[in-house]
Amino acid sequence: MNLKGTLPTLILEVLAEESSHGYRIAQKIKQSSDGLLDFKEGTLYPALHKLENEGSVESFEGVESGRARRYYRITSAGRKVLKDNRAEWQQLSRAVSMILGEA
Amino acid sequence: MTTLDSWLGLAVKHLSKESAETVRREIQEHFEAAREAALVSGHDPLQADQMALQALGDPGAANRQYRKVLLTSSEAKVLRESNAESRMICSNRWVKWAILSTPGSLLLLSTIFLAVHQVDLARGVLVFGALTAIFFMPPFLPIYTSTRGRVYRAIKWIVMVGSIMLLQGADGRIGLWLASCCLFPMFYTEWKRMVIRRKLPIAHWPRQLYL
Repeated sequence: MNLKGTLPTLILEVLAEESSHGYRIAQKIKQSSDGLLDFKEGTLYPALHKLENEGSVESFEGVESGRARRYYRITSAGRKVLKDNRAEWQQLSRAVSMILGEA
Repeated sequence: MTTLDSWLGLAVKHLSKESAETVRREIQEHFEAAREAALVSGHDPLQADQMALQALGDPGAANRQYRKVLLTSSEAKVLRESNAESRMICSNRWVKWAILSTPGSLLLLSTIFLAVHQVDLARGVLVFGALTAIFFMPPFLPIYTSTRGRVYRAIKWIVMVGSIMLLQGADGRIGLWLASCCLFPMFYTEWKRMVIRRKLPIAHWPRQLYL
C-alpha cells in the first residue's frame, strides 16, 4: 500500500511509544499494519533526517547487543506535530468514509 | 547481483563527504540488523543478504530523498567557501577598522559632495558606502538569531536594489537586468544558502547562514 506523505506521521507514532532505532521503527510500522503498509526501508532515514531537521525528533547514540546504534526519540514539538497530524488524518478519513458511504 | 557497497555508492551520489558518511553508517547498521533477523528466522547467509538488500529498495529513490534533506557536495562547498571573506576581514585588525570606518567616512564625503552641488559624485559615493556597509560589516554585527538574519537579508536586498535604482535613475530596469547578469554568482550562493537553511536545524547553523 502506498505510504506517500504519511511516513513521518507513522514514525512519530512509533516514537511516541518509545525511543527506537531505524530498523525497529520500520519493523513496528510493518507489524502494526499487519504487513499492509510495506515501504522501502531505504527511504525511512531521509524521513527521519527531515523530522530531525524540523525539530520533531532528536537522535542519540545507544548500544544494543553490544553494538553502537543511532536511536531516535520524539521531542515535545514532535508530539504537537503528531497530535495535529492525527486530528487531520481522522478528519480526512471521516470525510472519505462519508463519501464512500461507510460512515 | 547488487551488493551493499554498490547500493550505497548509488545512494550517496552527489552528497557531501559528511552526509555520505552518515548515510553509509545508518544504512550499514540497518542492513546488519535486517540480515541478522533473516538469519535468526532460518535463512542461509546468501538469502539473508539478498533479503536485507531488497528491503532497502531502489538506491536511486533513496538518493533523491537524501538529497532533499542532507547537504550535497555543491552545498557543502558553498558553505565552506562563503565564509572565506569573513575570515579574511576578521583576521586582520587594520582591515577590520578600515571596513568599519569606511561607510561612515563615505557618508560624510557624500554629504560634502552634495553640499558643493556635485550630485552625481555624491550619489556614487553614497551607493559605494551603502554597499560596503551591507557586505563587509555583518561579520562584526550581532546577527546570530534567525529573526535578525531575516531582517539583515531583507535590508541587504533593499539596499542592493535601491543602489542600482539610485545609480541608474530612470533607467533602473536596465540596471537591474545588468546587475542580475553580473551578480549571478552571488544569486547562486544566496539560493544555495536558502536551500541549506532548510536542510540544517537552526542549532547547527554556522554564522554565515544567518547573513
